[in-house]
Amino acid sequence: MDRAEAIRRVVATTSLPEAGEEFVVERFREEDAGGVARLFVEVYGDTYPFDLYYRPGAIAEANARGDLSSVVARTPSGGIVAHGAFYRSAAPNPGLLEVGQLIVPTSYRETFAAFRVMQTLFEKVAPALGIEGVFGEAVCHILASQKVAHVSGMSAVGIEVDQMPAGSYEREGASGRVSCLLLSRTYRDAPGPLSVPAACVDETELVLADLGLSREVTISTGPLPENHPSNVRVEAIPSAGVLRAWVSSAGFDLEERAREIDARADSDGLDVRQLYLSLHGPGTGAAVDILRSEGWFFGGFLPLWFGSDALFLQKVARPRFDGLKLFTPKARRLLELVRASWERTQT
Amino acid sequence: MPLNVADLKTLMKRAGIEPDLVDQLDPAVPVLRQGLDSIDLPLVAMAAEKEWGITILDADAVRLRTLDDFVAYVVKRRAGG
Repeated sequence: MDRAEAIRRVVATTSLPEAGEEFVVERFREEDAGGVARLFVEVYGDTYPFDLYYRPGAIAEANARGDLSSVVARTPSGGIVAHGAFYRSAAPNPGLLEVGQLIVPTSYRETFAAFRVMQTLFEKVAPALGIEGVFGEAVCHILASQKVAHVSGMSAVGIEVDQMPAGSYEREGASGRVSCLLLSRTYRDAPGPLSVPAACVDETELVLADLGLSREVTISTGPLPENHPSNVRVEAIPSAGVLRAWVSSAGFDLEERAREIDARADSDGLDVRQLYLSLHGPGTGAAVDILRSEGWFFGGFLPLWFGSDALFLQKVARPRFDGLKLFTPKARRLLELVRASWERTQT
Repeated sequence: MPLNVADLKTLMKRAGIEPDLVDQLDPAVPVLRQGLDSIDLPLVAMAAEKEWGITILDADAVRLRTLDDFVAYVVKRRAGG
């Protein structure tokens, strides 16, 4: 069954509740799957990047397997008026889940639905899952999801410049590509020493200031290890126009590996490149110096990303820094630092 | 000391609402006519729940249009009303 047929079935078998109905916010049940799919059709039409959310059976299965931990706002008639979830995504640390797929139809955006869904995820589901932490991405062409994240106890940790194609967000006035604010909340910290590249000290201190984490920060001064190569995994995401690389350890060949990443992105026509660099191990300062010389600039600091913390670096052909809407002073200051980091790669 | 508009404004600033905007709010005028957007109301309500240990019912929230409304509601809920 293709996407168009899946959407036809969802529309034929479920309806969106009228505005103003009461709702309860609870963990997902199998019978909610059709209503969740209907919600995605309502808000995104047929443009949402992931097929799963148009297929009620797949939504139910993903929840049953634990790949997706959904919370919904359900009306007395069984209709669904909000959805949010935890799920595994880009973080290698299995204890660090992404929060997202927060979706509310226009007719319920002035209610508490989105806030209650997030509250349930953070205060009930997260402790039940026993996770170490949560991260999220909030689009920056509007403030709504940033406000929900802020009141849910998440704090800004980075900015993904030009992260998403505007396609799914054009109904909300977005054009070109959409940048995202990276957010984090930690439940179980792993306190310890943190060796930070000199080039990213100010940025790291800003991010750490309100996270409540215990880190003994020192500056990384040593060279890259001469006795082992870099450990790099690369994944292209053509639907988003993004190439991602995870550098779980940097070794003597990092410069060569960085050029391979660019070559792969060039060959796939992907203008947005993102790299996660583990801060565990020696030589991270030297690694960042190499990556900066190749045009990579600061994007964020990600607690517990690999189990250990990580730096998020990015490389964007023609980054657009103007016009981003950012809710908190910290997020606005982060943007200044991200932009300054990019400017330093241009000289 | 009972909760007042100044306490609410302090909370609003902590919740992330622009301080200059909060300072200028007339407590008797609907906030949506004074530059807040519709999602700011649940934002403040959720912050109020955390700060003052109350539960704000969705059905009640839609009737809270001014800061005076909000303060009166919180006072009543804290008193068990």
